[in-house]
Amino acid sequence: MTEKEDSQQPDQAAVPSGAFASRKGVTALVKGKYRVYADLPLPVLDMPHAKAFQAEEMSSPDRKIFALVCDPEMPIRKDHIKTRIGVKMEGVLPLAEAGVALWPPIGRKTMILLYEMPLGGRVVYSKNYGKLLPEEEAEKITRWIRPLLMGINNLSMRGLTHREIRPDNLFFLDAEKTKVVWGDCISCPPAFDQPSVYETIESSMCSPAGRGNGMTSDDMYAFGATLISLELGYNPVESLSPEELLELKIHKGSYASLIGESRVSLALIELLRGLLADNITQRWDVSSAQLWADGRRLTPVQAKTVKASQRPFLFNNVEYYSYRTLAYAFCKNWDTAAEAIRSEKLQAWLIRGFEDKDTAGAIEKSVDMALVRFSTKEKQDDFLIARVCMILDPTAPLRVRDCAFKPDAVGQMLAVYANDEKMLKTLIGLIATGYVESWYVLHRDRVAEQQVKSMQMVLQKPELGMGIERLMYDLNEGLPCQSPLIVRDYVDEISSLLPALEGVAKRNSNMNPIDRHIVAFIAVKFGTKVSDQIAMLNSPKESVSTQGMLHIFSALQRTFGPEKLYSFCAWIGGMLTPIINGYHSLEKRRQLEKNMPKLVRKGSLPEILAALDDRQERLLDMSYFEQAKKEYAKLSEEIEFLDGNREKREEEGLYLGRQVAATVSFGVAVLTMFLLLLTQFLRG
Amino acid sequence: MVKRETAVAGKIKKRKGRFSSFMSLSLSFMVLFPMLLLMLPTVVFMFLSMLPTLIALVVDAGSKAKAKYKWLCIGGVNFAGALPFLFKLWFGSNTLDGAIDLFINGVAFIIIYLTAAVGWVFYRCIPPVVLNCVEMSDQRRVVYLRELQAKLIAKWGEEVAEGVEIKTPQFPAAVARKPAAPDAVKTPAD
Repeated sequence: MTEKEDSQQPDQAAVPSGAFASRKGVTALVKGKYRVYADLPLPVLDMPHAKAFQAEEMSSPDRKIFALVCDPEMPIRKDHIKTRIGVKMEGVLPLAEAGVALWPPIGRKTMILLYEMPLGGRVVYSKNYGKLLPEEEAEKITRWIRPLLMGINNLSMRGLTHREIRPDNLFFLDAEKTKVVWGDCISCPPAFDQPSVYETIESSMCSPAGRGNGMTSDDMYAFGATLISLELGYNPVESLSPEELLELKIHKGSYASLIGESRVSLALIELLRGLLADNITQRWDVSSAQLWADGRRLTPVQAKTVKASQRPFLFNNVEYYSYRTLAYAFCKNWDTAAEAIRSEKLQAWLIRGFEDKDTAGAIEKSVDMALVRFSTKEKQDDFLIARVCMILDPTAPLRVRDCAFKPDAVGQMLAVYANDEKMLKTLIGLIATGYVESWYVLHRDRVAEQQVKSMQMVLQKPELGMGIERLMYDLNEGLPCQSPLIVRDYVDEISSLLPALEGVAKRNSNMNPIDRHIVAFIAVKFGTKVSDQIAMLNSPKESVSTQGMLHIFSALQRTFGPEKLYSFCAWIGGMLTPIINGYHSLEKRRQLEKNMPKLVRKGSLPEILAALDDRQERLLDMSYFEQAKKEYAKLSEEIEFLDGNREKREEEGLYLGRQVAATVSFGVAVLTMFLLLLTQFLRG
Repeated sequence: MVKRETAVAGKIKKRKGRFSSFMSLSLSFMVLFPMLLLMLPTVVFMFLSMLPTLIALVVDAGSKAKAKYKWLCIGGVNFAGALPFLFKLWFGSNTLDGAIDLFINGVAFIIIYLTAAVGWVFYRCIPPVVLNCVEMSDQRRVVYLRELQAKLIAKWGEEVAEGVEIKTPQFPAAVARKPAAPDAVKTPAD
């Protein structure tokens, strides 16, 4: 680095070096080990969706770390947290710890990432930072290219992609500024903050939330674009809008678009051509780049010529010669595209210009499919345009009007737009009506196709634990529960759910502790262990659904604790009347109601459950109740017999009376005979 | 085929039945006729004495009522009235003239027919009395049963009566009294 460059940079070495143990101020405690100082911000280390603050490890105050406090509304990348905590990887800023903590300035909990302090500060801090790569090739490779490549490779080996590779996310790990590393990529969805200059053509077409995890090849492309900026000292296409840049890349190719008239060192050209190849099969992977760094010169990448027609296709008064440009034009002119697609001119262009009967046939089939699948013209047109764009440009994302995303990023889209009802409805529609499925069908990805079908089934089910909420948590591991009850508690782990609800209970216990988000969150995080209880929860019978709720929360407390939940038990205790009323015996009900306050005071849901839902007791209650019912019916029958039909009963009474009269009469006869015989006998 | 066989078997059975009844009639006649001849005064006396019973029997036979107890009621007391005179006949002049004389000359026939009238009074008065007793017993039973039902409801709630139609009681007195305390109720659960 030159002296001039050094002078341009602020004093980034002024990062905290001392211990803060004695310092008093607004702090947040992460995992009981790290203290984050809310009143000591580090704006130089801020990320677009996370603010940096000074932090310290309480057990070793000399360790230099800083905290990135994530935006609680923004989904984070949990897979990185799981893999990278405590693991030192060359080329990547080491992640010391990550955890949820109450962040006093916003008064709610959020994810706090604790990184090792990059003592040399940020590499780039403004738009014009000057040439950063040294002139000498060997130094360029050893100090910059190789470590950064190692960073990408280390992540790749762990099945991760960085997707936030750009000059302003580079840091010097040491105070001497010899170790350069990639910065944070966890605080937002993959490539969310990436300017389109550092993204491939396909990724640039997506909305920021819909770029997906991508592949290492996407990181390699971003690495190539970053190298150009570092080499030149500025972004060569800064003046272009994202749309203009994308069009330029489509027309001229990425390498030509980014390099333009700029002059880069000859040594880099081969690497940059390899990294910025638009065709993913031609793009250099990590090993190719490492071979280059080792000095083996590979065959320079010759950009494959895009298949173009000799005849133009006229659309919106513009002549188009290739599939990709036409597909892009269709997406940008959605309202007029359907007419052009249905016209015979397109078919003629495909057959005469490309002799591509397959594509022509597929488009014709799409017209029929749209007619069969959708009833309204507008929906038919939407499906037709989206599908034709998929056919013409298979590597492009799924594009429907303003919504463009890679189908594997559907989860991130749902997470980012969790609070945007309109967008959520659009996404549900795209999944449910076969857009996403069509994309995978055209890519012949059977596994993903089946996954989409199962998503459609989940969406179709209206019961608790299913629907869009289930998909959100299924497809986003780190998404905190979005229930309005606990959204401020940032519950991203099932074990944090009950403590959060305990907190809610302390504040306000007038609401229902179960909603669609909470049930979907439990269903995803607790797996099949509670599937029966969730089925109970969906029962239309109030006693059964309340029983289901109690079972679920009881299982959670038994499995994850905490041991005592006094407020939550009191909250739940007030809702258990339907379970108590589930017993038929009024005496049993009275007894349970009498014992309920005692049980609630114990703070244990499993104990409440055991008292209320004794299987043996329930069976006995049911059995005795059935007996009582039979007895009641028998009594009713007898009453009906005695009291119901008086005429018949009178008849029977009279009949009996006559029998009695006849008996009396004969009795008199017999008695007379006996007396006469006795008299005769006595007379002798 | 089967029907025909059944019909033939039926005919044979009928013939057998007729034959056996004819045989029993013949046998009875053979036994009773000599006895009738031997006990002619008694028979004549009893015939005259039991005339009200015979009339009641004829009336009963003509009535559509299922239970024909009128002749039995009259017959019993009528027979009791005739017995002392029958003894007198047997231990006095047991001849046909004596029997007719005993019945006509004296108070015998008045007494005998009065006793028959007492039998008729029995027939008329005892059934309403018994009916009243039956009604009283029914009332008591219904009240008791309704009390049991009320106790079941007190223990198990209204659900226990689900599916059972509860009718307005016809006995005004048969309305259940206030249910007893659940603790005092004996049910299968106890």
